[in-house]
Formats: sequence, structure tokens, C-alpha cells
Amino acid sequence: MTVFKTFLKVLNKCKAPIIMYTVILIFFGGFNMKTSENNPNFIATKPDILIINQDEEKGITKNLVDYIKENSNVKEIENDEESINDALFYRDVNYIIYIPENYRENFLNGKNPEIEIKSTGDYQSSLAEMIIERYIKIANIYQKNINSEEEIIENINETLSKQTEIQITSKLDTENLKKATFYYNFANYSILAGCVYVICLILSSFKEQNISKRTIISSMNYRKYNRYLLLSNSLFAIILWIFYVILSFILVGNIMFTTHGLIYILNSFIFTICAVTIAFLIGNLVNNKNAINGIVNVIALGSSFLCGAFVPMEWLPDAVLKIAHILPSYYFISNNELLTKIENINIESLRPVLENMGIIFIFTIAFIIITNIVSRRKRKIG
Amino acid sequence: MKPNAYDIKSKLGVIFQDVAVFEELTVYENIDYFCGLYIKDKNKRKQYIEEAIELVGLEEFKKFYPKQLSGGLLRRLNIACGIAHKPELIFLDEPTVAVDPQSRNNILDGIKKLRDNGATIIYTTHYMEEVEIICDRVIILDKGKILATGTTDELKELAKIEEKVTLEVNVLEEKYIEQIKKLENVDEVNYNGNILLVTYKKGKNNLVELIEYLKKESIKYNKIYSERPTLNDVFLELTGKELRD
Amino acid sequence: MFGHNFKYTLKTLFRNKTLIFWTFAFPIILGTFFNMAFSNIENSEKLEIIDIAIVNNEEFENNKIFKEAFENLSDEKNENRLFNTKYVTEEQAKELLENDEISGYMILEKEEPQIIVTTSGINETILKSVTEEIIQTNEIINNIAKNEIEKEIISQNYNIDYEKIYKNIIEMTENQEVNIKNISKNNLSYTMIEYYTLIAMTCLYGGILGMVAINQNLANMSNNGKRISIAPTQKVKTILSSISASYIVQLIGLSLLFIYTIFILKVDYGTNLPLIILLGLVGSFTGLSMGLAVGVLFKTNEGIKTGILISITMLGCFLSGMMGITMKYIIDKNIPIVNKLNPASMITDGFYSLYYYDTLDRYFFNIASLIIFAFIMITISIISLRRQKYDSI
Repeated sequence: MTVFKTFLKVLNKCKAPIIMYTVILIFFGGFNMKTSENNPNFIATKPDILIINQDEEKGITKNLVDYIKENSNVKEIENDEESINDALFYRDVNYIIYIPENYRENFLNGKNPEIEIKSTGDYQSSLAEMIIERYIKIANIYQKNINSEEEIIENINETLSKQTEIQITSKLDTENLKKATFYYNFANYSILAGCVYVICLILSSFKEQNISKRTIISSMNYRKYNRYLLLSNSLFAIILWIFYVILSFILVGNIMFTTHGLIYILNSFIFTICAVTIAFLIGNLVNNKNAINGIVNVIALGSSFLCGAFVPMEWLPDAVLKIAHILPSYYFISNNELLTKIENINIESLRPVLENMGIIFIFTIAFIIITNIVSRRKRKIG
Repeated sequence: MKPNAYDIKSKLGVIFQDVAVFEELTVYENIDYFCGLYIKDKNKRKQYIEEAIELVGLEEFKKFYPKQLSGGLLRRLNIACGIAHKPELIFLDEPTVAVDPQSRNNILDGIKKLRDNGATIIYTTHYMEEVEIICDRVIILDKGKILATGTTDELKELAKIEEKVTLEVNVLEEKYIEQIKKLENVDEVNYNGNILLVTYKKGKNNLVELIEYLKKESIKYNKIYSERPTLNDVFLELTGKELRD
Repeated sequence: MFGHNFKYTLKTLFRNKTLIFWTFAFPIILGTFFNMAFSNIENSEKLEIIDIAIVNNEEFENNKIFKEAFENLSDEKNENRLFNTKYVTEEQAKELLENDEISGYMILEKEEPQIIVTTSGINETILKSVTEEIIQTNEIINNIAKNEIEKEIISQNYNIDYEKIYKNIIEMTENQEVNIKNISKNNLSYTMIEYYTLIAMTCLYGGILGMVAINQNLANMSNNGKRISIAPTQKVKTILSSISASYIVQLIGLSLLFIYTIFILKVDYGTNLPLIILLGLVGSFTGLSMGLAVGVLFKTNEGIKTGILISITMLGCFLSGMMGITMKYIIDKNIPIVNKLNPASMITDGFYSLYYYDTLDRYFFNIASLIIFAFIMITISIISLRRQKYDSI
């Protein structure tokens, strides 16, 4: 009990970092996560386009603007070059189209007026370009064959109204599953940083020479003492984990109540236990309180960056992903990613997930064994 | 004294109670740094540093970092940093707190040497025996007020007792204690366990009389010795015996 | 005296492992992580060739327009290739889709193409868009052909060469030149902002060095300070030499980071080297001034002061986009005053304007803001230092 009480006292001093890691999780895990209903219909991706219209909004020009508005998200940006350039750089818009002065007149006269654009060069801008090129192509063809502006517009719009039927087969709530994955991927950082930082601090407080000497001479059995320490630290980690799970129910919502949600939770539990053993290993290796902060940052940030907690795995270079295989976080995050794709949950479809969990478990065992070897050696020296 | 009274400052040396050295610098570098704030000439400085190191006996630890030093050695380094520039007036604030006996001896010897070299030293301490060893003049301060000043002997006269006789007596009946109290010059008699403590207000050879009395009553005793009062007694006498915060 | 104190301040700073870790090693490690995580992002965001399948039923085999269009768009030699197409049976297509090997498949039935996908997304949208374009082109050809034929009939020419009319029209649709001119700047790599915030972080972390250095000199901050304050030295001199030493250490750390990011991580700072260096010098100086102010104003231990400096720096870097580049844009756009007061953002924005803009107004605005910020910090420090007279410590 005394060990536990002291533990709580030391823990109380670690409030600040725990709160910080949680705020980071809420802020970034919750960022970009507006809840949306699962939509069984196809929703076309719309690029963000900025229209700078230097022509009068009439006739063919108006029709072009209307068409773009219908097929993309038209953004409103303050009309000065610097704001526009900033917007493009920071991907607030993917594509900027400058409709020149007298566009309507020149177009109707068959001059095929030049349209200036600015593009970020990503896929959204490619899509924007496809959308605009299609319109101009159609318009140009009709302009060559029809004289009346009204008729041209009519023809263009009629042609563009021909749509393709599209069917969605999957019943998966991909949008919400992606949110859950996003949240739990980010939790990789918070769990790892939170556990390692706090547990290391606590261990180093308990190990501080004077205290450690005092415990060694006390009547408490050394092993029992260690067991209490492990127990109270695990308890802390589990409380932290429960807290983050509850947070996921609040932030992610309904999807957490499905079988998928259960697997997310189970996966994060196994990872939390692994994080505790990592923390114990580091806590046993490092005694310097000043060094802990640096080590925590390097380990938590490193695993998170390398394994795709912040940046989706599919965007990471292959070489980085190969290195990531040596880190438990990789398997934790892989599982989160897998969950967005598994439609029917059964033993067969869950096999890769279970395999990854197994690997995390092996890591856990390995860390425990290494910790034991290290601490035994240290005790002998001491 | 103003902050820019550099001529005065250059003649001062202060050794603080808390160890004030750089963790990142070695023993030699620490002394060099602080000495360098006073002595600009490099050769002269080098010589001064060597002398300071020799004075505190850190010759073998020149390349050590403070972290690697024991408490006593650290204290000695702390002193070396404060006196390397050969100040004329040195303040030492309890430099021997929590120090092993060897280091303490070394420190006290060093201080005597500094005095012999002509420096004036103001030494604050709680250890009265140190005062008796090294101080020429003593001031007893209590809560910022001067209670007494003088040489050690002068101060001892302030103590109301003149002589203390301690003897080991296995059994002593109450009536004997009462009789001893009535002997000449006796101030107080204390019998605790098997130790009898007799204090005298004045006179110098009270021991003889006591022994004669014991012989007469054929009281058996093992050891007997007489002491002059210490500064500790003077201090307690002046400041009171009750515990303080 | 100046040199003596300078030399020893350098020694104490360089031997302080924790300090050197945070100011030298940590930015480099973080930069390496950034590089690992972000080096591929912008490539991943480019349109990739999309895996699709087409059900090769009889109708598709007979529909020349669809067949040619998809063959063309899947041609490896085509510069504007969009698809990697598999021609399979409907059963196979379903299986491919289920195994996530294709984004979707198209089936042509009764002249109506149908697209089957698993989710909504960019690849799916493009497949849909392309299919629509084919139908629409088809429609145009029919419309115009009808017109042409009507014209011929009106002009009483009954000997109509249908094939020729269609051929002409198809040629015309294929040879449409779309007159679009891309005028965007080349330097559009937004992940660069990450590295700029890293430089900003290093500049501001340098303040910790300054804080530690000046605390060594102050009698009310450290025991060593007491010792220095009783020595016959001018306070101004020791403080100045300590600050200069910490500035030098800071600049060495910053140079290492610059060398590492430029030569190993291939970070692009633009081409104007003297201005890049100037920004580094001014930025570090601002960090230093902040460290001094924190060192002098707060009467706590070094650990807490370091904590304060790290918190200010991280908050500043967060607002200038270190943990998500959009953050800088959101702040710049909606509450610009915040980032105009934030030294991390001034440094980041300075590098950004050197990289992205041709004109230097914005760059010099940032330099000026940094200098003003530093000036204010130093003034505060001096006022606070002058007030300090210690009767008793």
C-alpha cells in the first residue's frame, strides 16, 4: 500500500505531461473528424477551385462559372495576389482559374482565348484540370458549329448532363472507420509518450539513490516491492488506456460500438501493455531524469513518424516502412489500417490482424526478458 | 560598498556555505575560472592556482569533475575557488558542514596557513571546537545580535562555571549527593546512571577536595577527571539551552 | 576578462549534455523524422495510374468508341495515361474489386456504361469522369453529325458521304486544343514549411543557452553568480561575454542543422544565400533575447525556466505549422496578429517568402519584426537587470 501511495504522489507531479499528451491527442486525433453519416450513394470528389473572373459574368462566361461551381468546391479568397498565392501554397485551393477580360467576346469570335491557371500539381488539381478541359473542349466544338450563343450554351449543358450510373458495393462505413483509424494511429504517440514518460519518471524517482537505499534496507521483500511497482505502473497505463478509449467513443462515435470498434480497442490494449514494458526497459536503462525527456521524445516521435501514425502509411517511402518493421508501433498501426478494409469479420479475414497482435505480444515478452537481464546485472553492480 | 568598488572587491575572498562551482568544469578549470576574474596575468594565475590546489590538497584531482568528488573534496574545491587569488580578507561561511574528519583537518590547516600568510579571516561556524583551534578573536552572534566578543580565554571567563569534574561511581546514595552539594564552591551536582558530574563556580583545585571527601566516606569510583569549561558551555550559557527552530 | 569569461562560458555550455542534446541533436533527429515521413507525401499526392477492369462482353468488343478510348488511356506510351486496365469477365472483375486490386470496373450494357466501385474517392471519381467524357463526346459527334446531315439535306444534297462526315467530326473532336496556360510558381513544395519551423525551433531553443549563460552570472539565480558578483569585474562585461559565447554556440548548432538539412535532407531554402544567413542570424538573436528575458524575469530554478522556454517555443512552432502545415495558414488567414507576434512564425514566414515569393517585401517585414521583438526583449531584460541590487540574498 505504501508503494502505491507514494506512486500516486509521484504521479500527481506528472500531471502536466499527461495532460499535454492528451490535449495533443484530442486536438490532432479529433482534427479533421467532423462526423458524417454513412452514405450508400456515390459522392464525387470535388477539388477546391478558386475562380478569378475578370470578364463580365454573362452568357458563356457565366455558364463556365456555373459549371465549375457545380463540379467543385469554389473557394472565396480575398482578391489580392499574395492571399491567392498563399492559398495555393497551403493547399487551401488546388486550382486557380483566371478567366480573362473579354473572354465571352473572344470565345464567341472563335479566338479560343487563353485561360491562365495555377495548380498545385496534386491529384485534386489534375481532377480540376480534367473537369475544366472537358468543358472547354465541348464548348469549342459547339462554337465552331453553332452561331447563336444561347444555342451553344444549351447544347453544352445538354451534353454535360449525360451522366454515368455508379454503384457502390461495399457496405462498410469507410468514412467513420477511417476516422477511428486516424484516432488510434495518433493514439500511438500519446500512449507511447504518456506511458514511457510517466513510468520512467516514476521509476527514476523510486530509484534515486537515497530512496532506493531506503527501500533496500526496509523490511519489504525486494521482489514484492518490484511487483508492486510493476502493478501500480500497469494500473496507471490501463487507466490512461481506458481514458483514451472513452475519448475515442466521444470523438469517433457509433463505429466504436461495432465489432470493428472492439478490435480497435483490443488492439490498443495489447499495444498499451507493450508500451508499459518498453517504459520499464527504458526506466531500467536510464537513471538520469534530464535524459528521460529527450529519450521519450525520440522514441515516441520516431515510432510515430516511421510507422505512419502522423502520415498515412501508404504515403511513406518503402525504405522507411522496412525500417519500421522493427518497431511494435508498426504492427499496431498496420492493424488499424487493416480494419478499414475488412468487411466481414471472421477468423479467416482477421488472420492478418491476429498475426500482428501476436507480433506485438512477442515484442512485449522480449522487452520483459531484456529488462530482467538488465536489472539483474545492475543489482549485482549496485 | 557599491557594486563597482572594484579595489575593495579585489581584496576580498568569500567561501559560501553552498558549494558554488561549475558542474561542467574540472577542478583545475573551476579554480582557473574564478581566479581569472581577479588575476589577469596568466603565469601568475597559474602559480596561484597550483598553490591553492596544494593548500587544499587536491593535487590528484585536478582533472576530476565536481560530480566525481566526495563531499569533503568538493568542500575543499569550494574553498580553493574562493581563495586562489590570495585575498586579504576572507569570509568563510561554515565551510566544514558535513565533511569527513580528514577533510576537516585539511581545511582547518589550510585556514591556519592562510592566516600565517597574512590574510584576515572571518570564519562562521557552529562547531565550537573549530573555533578553539583556529580563532584568535571570537564573536558570538545570536539572532543577529552580538552577545560576546573577545579571545577564547576571555569568553571562557564569561561562563559562570570554572571547573567540571566527572567521575564514574557505581552506587551513590542520595545523602552523599546532598553532602557533595555542600562542599566548597560546588555549583551543581548531577547524578545520572553511574556518572557523577560536579560543577564549580570558582576556584582551581577543587578536585583535590572532592577526592579527599570521597576517600573519607570510602566511596568507590573508577575514573575521575577535571575539565576547564569549553566554548560550547559558554555558547549554551549565553544563548540558553532550550532547543531552537 | 572578456575573453576569459567567454572561453569558460563556451566550455560550460558545450559540456552541458542536456543542453546540447536539445539545441544540437534534437532538431537534427526531428528533421530526420520529418524527412522519413514527408519525403514521399507530395509524390503520393500526384495522380497515379489507376487500376481498373472492364468487362469484355460482346457489347464492349463491338463499341469502337469505348474500346479505343480506354485502350488509348491505358496505353503505356501515352503521356497522359490514366489507367491500367484489365479486360476480364464480370465474375473476375467482382473478385478483383473484392480483393482491392482495382479501384472499380466498368460494364457496358444496352449502350449504358455502369461503374461499380467499393467506396467514393478520387480514383473512382476519375473513372466516372472519364466514362462520362466518352459518352459526352459520343453525344457531341452524334449531335453535330445530325446537324451536318440536316444541312446537307437542306442544301438538297442527297448524295451524303456519312463516313466522311463522321470522320471529319471525330477528327475535329480529337484535335481540340484547350488553351490553358499554367502560370503557377515552381516552388510549391509545402512540406518545406516543416523544415522552416524546425529552423525556427532551433533558433528559439538557442534561448535556453542564453538563459543558462546569463544565470551563471546573476547572484540571485545561482551560487556561481554570487561568486562572480563579488569579483572585481564589471557586470556588463561578464554578461556581454557570456551572451556572446552562448550566441556563438547557438550559431554553431544552427549551422550544423543548415548543413544537414541542405546536403542530406535536400531542403530547399531558395537561392538567396546571404539573406538565408541573415535570417538565421537574426532569428537566433531573437531566440537569445527571449532566453535572456526569461532568464532575468523569472525568479525560479533553471529547470522551470527551460520548461518555460520550451513551452513558448513549441507553442510558437505549433502555430507556425510544425504539427500540421495548415495551422500556419489558418492563423495567417484568420488571426494574422497572432503570427505577427510569434517569433517562430516570423522566422518560418521569412524562409517561406524567400522560397516562394520573388519579391522581398515580405521577407524584410519579417526581419524587421524579429529585430523589433528582440529589441523589446532586450530592453525588458536590461531594465530588470538594472533594478537588481542585492542587499541580502
